[in-house]
Amino acid sequence: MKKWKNLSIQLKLIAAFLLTFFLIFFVNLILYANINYMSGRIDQVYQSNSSLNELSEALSAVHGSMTEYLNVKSSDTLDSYYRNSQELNGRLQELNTEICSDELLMMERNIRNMTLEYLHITDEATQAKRGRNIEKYRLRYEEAVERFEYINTYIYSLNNRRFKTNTNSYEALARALSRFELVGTVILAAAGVLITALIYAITKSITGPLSHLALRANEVAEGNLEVDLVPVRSMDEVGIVTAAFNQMVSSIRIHMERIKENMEKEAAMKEKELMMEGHLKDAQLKYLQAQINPHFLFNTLNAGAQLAMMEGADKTCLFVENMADFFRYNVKKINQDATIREELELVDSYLYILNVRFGGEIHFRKQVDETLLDLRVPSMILQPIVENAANYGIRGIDWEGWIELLLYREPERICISIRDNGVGMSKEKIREIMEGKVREADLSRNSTGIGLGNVISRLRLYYNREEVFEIQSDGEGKGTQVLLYLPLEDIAELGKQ
Amino acid sequence: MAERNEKKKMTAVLLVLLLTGLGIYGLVVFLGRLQVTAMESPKKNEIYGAYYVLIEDGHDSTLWDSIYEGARKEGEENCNAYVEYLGKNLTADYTVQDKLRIAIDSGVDGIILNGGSSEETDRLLEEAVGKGIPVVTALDDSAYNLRKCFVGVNNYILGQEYSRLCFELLSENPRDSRVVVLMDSSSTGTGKNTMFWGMRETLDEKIRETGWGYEIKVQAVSIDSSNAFMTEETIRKLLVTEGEHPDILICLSETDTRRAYEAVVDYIKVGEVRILGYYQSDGILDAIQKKIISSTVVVDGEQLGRFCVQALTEYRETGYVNGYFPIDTYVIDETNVGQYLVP
Repeated sequence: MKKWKNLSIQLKLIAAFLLTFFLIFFVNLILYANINYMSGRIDQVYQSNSSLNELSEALSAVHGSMTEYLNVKSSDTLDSYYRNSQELNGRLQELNTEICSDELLMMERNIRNMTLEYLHITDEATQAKRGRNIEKYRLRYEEAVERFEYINTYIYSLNNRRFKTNTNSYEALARALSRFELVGTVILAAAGVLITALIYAITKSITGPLSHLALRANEVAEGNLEVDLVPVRSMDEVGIVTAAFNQMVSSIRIHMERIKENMEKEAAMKEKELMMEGHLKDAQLKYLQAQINPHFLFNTLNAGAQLAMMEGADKTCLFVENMADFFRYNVKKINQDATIREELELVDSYLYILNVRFGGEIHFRKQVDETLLDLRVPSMILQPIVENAANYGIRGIDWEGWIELLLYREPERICISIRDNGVGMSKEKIREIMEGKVREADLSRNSTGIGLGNVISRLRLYYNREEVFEIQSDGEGKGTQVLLYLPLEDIAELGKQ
Repeated sequence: MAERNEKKKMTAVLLVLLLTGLGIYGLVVFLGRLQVTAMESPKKNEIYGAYYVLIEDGHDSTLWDSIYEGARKEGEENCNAYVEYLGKNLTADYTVQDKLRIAIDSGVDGIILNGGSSEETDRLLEEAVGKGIPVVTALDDSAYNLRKCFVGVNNYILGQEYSRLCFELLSENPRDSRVVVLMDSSSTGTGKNTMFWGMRETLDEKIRETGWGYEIKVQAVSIDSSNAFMTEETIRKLLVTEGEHPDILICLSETDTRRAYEAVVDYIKVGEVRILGYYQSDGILDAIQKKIISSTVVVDGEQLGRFCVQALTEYRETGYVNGYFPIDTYVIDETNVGQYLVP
């Protein structure tokens, strides 16, 4: 078995071919041998009749030549008589001599004995003729004729009986032959079935592992590297390919493992980096917070407001109150969400402070859908945008600057638009801002410290989607519009929470 | 697992191969047998020490078949001899003399003969005896001076038996009556005469003993058994033409018995002509059952055959043998015919 498995496919195929060839050859050999044998037997069936006929002919020849000799007494006829009687004698030797239970053999025996007696008489007759004993040879001749008739009757009867049994044999043989045809067909069919089964088994043993291998290869191709290795059952060509395949799958697995490890390492490093950045920011914030003690600042500013009120400086009082509101909100709301109303109030406070500082240069107008004011949004999202419009948009322009804020509803979202008529932005700049590539500038003196990048990030995080922020500008000097898209569903849901 | 599967598969393949091989081998053997049985298988060929022939003159086939059967069995079983019913397997119909000639030329070891005496027969028998071939006569002791032994029925006793049966029938309806005995003219032996004589004597005795007051006319009618049409005609004459038909018809051969009862039926003489038959055949037994034949005297054929072979063997072995072997006879009539009828 092992040896068979280790044979090459070529040898296996040759072996299969030889095996089937010899099987068919063997079966045919048997069939032909049988046919040959049976046709031989058929040829022999009437052999006994033929010998009896020959015996009868020999007897007739003896009788004829004897009669002729007795008639003409020539040496030719005497020769012929001797020759014939010799031949007859020879033929008699083939006949049965024993007393046995077979009727036909006993008839043979009788024929033999009677013929011997007949030959004895004919010999006497010929001798009497030679001795010119007319009376004797006439008598012997009559006796011979009588015997000749008896013997012929016996031969004829035996021939008939033999013919009958031979015919039976012949019929039986013919029947056997026709049955043999059927049996031969059955044998050939059986051999055919066997050979088919054999070829099937052998080809299956060759192609089976191949298709198994192909199946596994397909699985691997579809990305499943966790397939079982294909067992190597033979050392033929397929076995070698299978072993190579197994080797390949193992190698791929190892490589994949390595890549995975590397990626994990890289990810860990990135995380570390991010955490470091976070810590840095945290430290920065803590530094700022340490610089400004909000309570102290509020109290101070409130004290200033009261002082201004007592002195009757109403504008100063309003200014300082706005200042206090602005800072309180700034500190309180930085990590919570707020209503849009609160956000708008913060924008108002901020713009008031700016206008006081810069002498009312900034015209601010807003158009608001009142029903939306109580919706909750992340805090500190509008003020940085307005601050940006004020600081980078309309500062230092030759014409009169304005900032316009619109709050309105669209079918599935709320839009907040903050537009200015300032210097505008190039496409490149817009792209950089949107991709967060602009580094947060050092905190300027006029900034609250929160940049657009921060707003974009927080909005995206808060709503868990990308399309929340858009900057539009037609170019230099054409103004800028910032659009916030707040999904209505999320706002409602978040509001409920 | 796969290993085990593989093993199973291989075992299955090997099994299939083995089975197919066996199947083909079986078919080959079957074919061989087919050929052997197709040929005439020679019978078990026993070799014997002696060769006897049975020669008879061609009458009463059922009786002779039975005698031959007895002789053959005795030869095979007890005497190491092959017995042949000479002429049975020949296409030509030969006379007793022809058969004797064939037997002598064939070199037989013994002859069982039944056949009338004739000059030719005697000459052939002399030749046989001269060549050391013993001859035993069966039933008909015509060649008594040349045969070694006679196996058969005592004809005088047979005659007595017939006269007893005859008298029984006559006693049923006592009146003047006529008894006809059909005698075979072709039989040249003295046996039938002895029988006839025995019968008459016994009948006369019975008449004397019983003081029978009526006339019993016993008549022998000669018929030629070898000529079927003549027999037919003789019986017809007896029954129809001659006015007074016989009261009792005694037949001394199976063939005559058959012819007689057929004639009695044909000429509507059943009951008027009573038949005393000879030997048994299906037809005769059937006729007894139907009361067409009153009774029949049966010779034990098988016993006869056996005795013939025993006598020949004894003579060949010892050079001497009893001159006479008597054979049993028995009577079948309507009282016991049931035992002999084959269901």
